[in-house]
Amino acid sequence: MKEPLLTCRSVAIEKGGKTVLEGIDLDIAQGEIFAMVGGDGTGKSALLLACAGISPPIRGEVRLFGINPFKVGRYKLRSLRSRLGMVFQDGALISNMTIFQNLALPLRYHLGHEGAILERRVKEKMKEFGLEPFRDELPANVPAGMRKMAGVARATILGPELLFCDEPFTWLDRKEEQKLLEVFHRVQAFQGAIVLVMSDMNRASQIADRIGSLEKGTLRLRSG
Amino acid sequence: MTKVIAWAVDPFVRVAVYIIELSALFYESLRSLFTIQGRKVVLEATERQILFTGVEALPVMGLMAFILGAVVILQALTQLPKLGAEEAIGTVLVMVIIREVGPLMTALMVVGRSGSAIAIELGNMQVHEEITAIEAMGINTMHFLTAPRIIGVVLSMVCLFLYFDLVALAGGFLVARWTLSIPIGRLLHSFAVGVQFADLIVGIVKCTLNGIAISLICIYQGLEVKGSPTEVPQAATKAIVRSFIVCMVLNIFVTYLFYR
Repeated sequence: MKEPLLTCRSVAIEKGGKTVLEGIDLDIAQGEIFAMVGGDGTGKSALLLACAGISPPIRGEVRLFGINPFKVGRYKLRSLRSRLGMVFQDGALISNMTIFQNLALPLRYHLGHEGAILERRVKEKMKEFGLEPFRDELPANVPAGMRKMAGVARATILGPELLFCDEPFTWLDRKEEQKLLEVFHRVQAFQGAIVLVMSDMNRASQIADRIGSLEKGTLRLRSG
Repeated sequence: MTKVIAWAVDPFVRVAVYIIELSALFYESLRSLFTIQGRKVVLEATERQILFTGVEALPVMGLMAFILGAVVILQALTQLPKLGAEEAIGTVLVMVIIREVGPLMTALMVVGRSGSAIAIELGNMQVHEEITAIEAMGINTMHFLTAPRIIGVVLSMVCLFLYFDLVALAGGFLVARWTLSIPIGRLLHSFAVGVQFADLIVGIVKCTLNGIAISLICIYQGLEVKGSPTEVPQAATKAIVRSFIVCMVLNIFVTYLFYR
């Protein structure tokens, strides 16, 4: 049996000095879409950050591709993170960089792409997400939906094996939602996995293979 | 009794922790420069910082330097003739400007213009999860955000200090030329005698230390913002006040070390 891409064991999450989630056990397999659903303040975004190896849990263990991201050296951690994609609720684009520069950043930093190859790869991604009209705009001058799409484009530009999305469908119109679902299916097709954080249970049931409901400080798993 | 001791000791502990954290930030930033990845991106960020802190500050810095140079000379002119030391005017100007006013005014200008901007920019980036996003992309924030700001501020400060000295001396020279009856040759000699290479080196040392302190404090305060937009102006205020206090202390320390 293949090792899961993401494993959580007895994970506890703290928010504002209070333990909000405890005893989280989770395995995310290749090709899976998993949605964590919960109301405001249940700690779902904090859990997502822990799963993505960004904020450590107060207790328990997280493993990404079999490696604990909080116990590895900085170089290994960076190479681990370059295999992940993270989509934030409002895109979290770098505000003093244009949409083109935002998308180009991972390619330039990790792969050293410059010139024609960089231009071609970013253009392709911008075309895919309908971002060409906003190429030289700063994120503040771009509509919220498009900002979100730019965030998705940036998160997927290196071809992540594991994609984390915080409230992926907020501010998106139907066409953009469709585009996002295509992205998810593409990640799945390449044996990647997607972890979503959502507050709408019905929408999550339509998209995810499995759902984890955050209730009473823990995660209850069910099929999607 | 324990409470009284804790109350008395607490400020010192906090200052010590603050200095340790700033030192760690500095160390991590320097260490990040050995990263092979993303050097071009980091170099561009450094260039942007130099453009903002150094190049864009030139006009206002020049104006301030010219006025200060003129003011120092005008003040000296009210006193030196009474002592019969009119010809020492150049030396006085050089000593005041290069040794003390130059480094301090450069620090003041950089704190007000760039230091506050760094704290606000990084604070806003924290609020909008941009820094988390950078980390999530596997980009070293010390390499991409911190190191370019430190290098940019330090290099800009040294250049601004030399520019300040030059313009202030020119301003002082022009005022002296118009108001004094000393022949131009003797006036120039008075300036030349005043300028010591060692003074310039000490000024550069002061500016380097001030630049490191300003950039570290402002970066630290910006990164200290946890998530609320109301923390951003507070972070900027703290950054400005602390930077300026530290610059004053460093100036006194270096002056004591070299001129006692």
